[in-house]
Amino acid sequence: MSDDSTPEPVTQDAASGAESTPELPEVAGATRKQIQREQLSVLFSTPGFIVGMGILLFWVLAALFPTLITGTDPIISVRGADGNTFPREPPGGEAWFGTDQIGRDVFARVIHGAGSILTIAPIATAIAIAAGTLTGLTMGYFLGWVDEFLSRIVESILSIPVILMAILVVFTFGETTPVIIGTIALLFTAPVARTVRAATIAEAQLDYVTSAKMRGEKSFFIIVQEILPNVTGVIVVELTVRLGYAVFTLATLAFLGVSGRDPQLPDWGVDVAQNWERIGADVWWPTIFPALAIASLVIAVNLVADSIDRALKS
Amino acid sequence: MARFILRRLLLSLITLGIILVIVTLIPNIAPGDPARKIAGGTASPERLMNVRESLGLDDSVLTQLKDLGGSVITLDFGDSFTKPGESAMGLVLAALWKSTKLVVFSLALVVPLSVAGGMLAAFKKDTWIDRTIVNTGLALSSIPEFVAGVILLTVLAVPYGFFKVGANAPDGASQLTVAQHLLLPALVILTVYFGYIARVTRAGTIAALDSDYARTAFMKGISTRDVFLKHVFRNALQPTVAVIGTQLGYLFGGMVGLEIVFNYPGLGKLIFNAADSADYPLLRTGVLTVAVIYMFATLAADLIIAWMNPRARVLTEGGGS
Repeated sequence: MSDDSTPEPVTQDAASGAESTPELPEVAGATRKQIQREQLSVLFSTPGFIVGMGILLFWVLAALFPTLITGTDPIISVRGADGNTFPREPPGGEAWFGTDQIGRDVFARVIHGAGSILTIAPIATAIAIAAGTLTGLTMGYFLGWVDEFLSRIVESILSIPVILMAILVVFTFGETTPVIIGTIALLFTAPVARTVRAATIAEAQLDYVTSAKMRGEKSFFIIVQEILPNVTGVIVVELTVRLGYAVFTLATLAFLGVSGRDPQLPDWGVDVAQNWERIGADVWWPTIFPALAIASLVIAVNLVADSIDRALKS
Repeated sequence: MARFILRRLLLSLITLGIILVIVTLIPNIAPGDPARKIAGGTASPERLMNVRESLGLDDSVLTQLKDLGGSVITLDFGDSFTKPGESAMGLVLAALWKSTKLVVFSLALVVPLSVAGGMLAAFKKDTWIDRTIVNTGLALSSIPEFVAGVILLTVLAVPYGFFKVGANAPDGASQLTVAQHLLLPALVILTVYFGYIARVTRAGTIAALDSDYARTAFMKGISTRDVFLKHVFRNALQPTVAVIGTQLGYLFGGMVGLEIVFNYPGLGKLIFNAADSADYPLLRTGVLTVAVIYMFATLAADLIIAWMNPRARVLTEGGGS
């Protein structure tokens, strides 16, 4: 088990528990490492993974260093030498992707727009994975009334479409970035918990858990040191799948105008919302390019998620 | 069987109860005075009083919960705030009818195509046909509906007049015209669900083809066609039914972006507008309706699966959730 894939507080607490029986996890870790190495080599020979990673890395680069890719300002309208602006300029020439209604460079907005979504989506996903893993492990290991109670809550969250729940929560608590991160984290905790729960139930029936119980290990040790490493694969797949859905949900919220973002600032969903009604007037470029950016990002994340899933099952 | 249905219904009622609590709490925990937000900043004190009273905001949360529980039983959630004089239930039912049209039309297009695609992929397993179907489906399914919507608007609706920009046909239009208007949003729903349904169908078909009973049937010398029709089809489609069941709630209430792009007065848009304007009676009715649809759809899916395969009944009963 690699330490960086474990939620931090758990690792620290578990350290004391691990000291009592140091030999067992180490032996298990060695074989696990071999398997991991093999899975990684499968992964890097999958075309889907390479293409997905390529697109993903491009957008990460755009999010971190947008000025490396474009020197044009995304907020100020492009002006010619005579000081005139060029609104609704079709793609080609100076502005590769054309200019929007008030003459801003669409390419610059698309590149700079990667930042917001690639900050918020990973943070929200990370919180959901940590919370969902803890909840799912607890539910799957202890079962009984704790599981029954949490299952009902998970089920009620899942019975309302994510986007509706998100709209409800965001309208209730205000359209701010922390609220949006919290909302997506909370809503995605439910499906993560359900997946981890199912995997935990399957693991808890295996002999190694039974023998750990017979050794008299504490539940906490068994969950963190024995079961968690064996459900890491499921969690990694869940992480990538949820990241895709987080991008999906964030873009939709931005399109619906509930992202709390200043519409001046570049954001793919907001930009589509501001321009799509002009598609009918044949001004398609300020809409289509941010729309394609969203599509390429979710497709990339999905390709990576799917490749990891396959590699783990290989 | 009766026990299974009863247990499922009971669990659904508990889930519905939790959603009831959530929608009751929302105006209470919303920052600021929801009554002022609804009535507007310049509202008279009397108007504010009225709004507070109709929302039940002066009552304790427990009383509000009891009132809302009563509303669920009588199916009377009061009048909409934004459209005075119109009952929230009536508005929701009108939107529900619109959503039903869109969902039924879309599924009639999506399910046969996706099932055919999934089965084709299963029969051509590990060929380029299989990979194309699976990967295209996977790539398309992750695109948000509003993105697919604006792209289709650009490449289809603007150059070709046959595709309509708005999904809502004028009143009194023929069924054919209604279908013509619904075609583009249905194509968007196809992009969202083709990959998902095709993939599950593919997996189900491969599992059924690999099963002992299919192998036995092949060995008995039964033709591929007969093995397929008599043994594989029924078993292969069980996961497909389960997926459609769990997605129906989303199709009815989650297509907010799609309904906005195609200006379609369905349930998703109604709930979004209700939340936007703090129209709590409408919001509560809409959300509860979506939850009820989800429950009945998943229950129906489970029953169909149980009917297709009696073994599933036992499995579901032991599963817990």
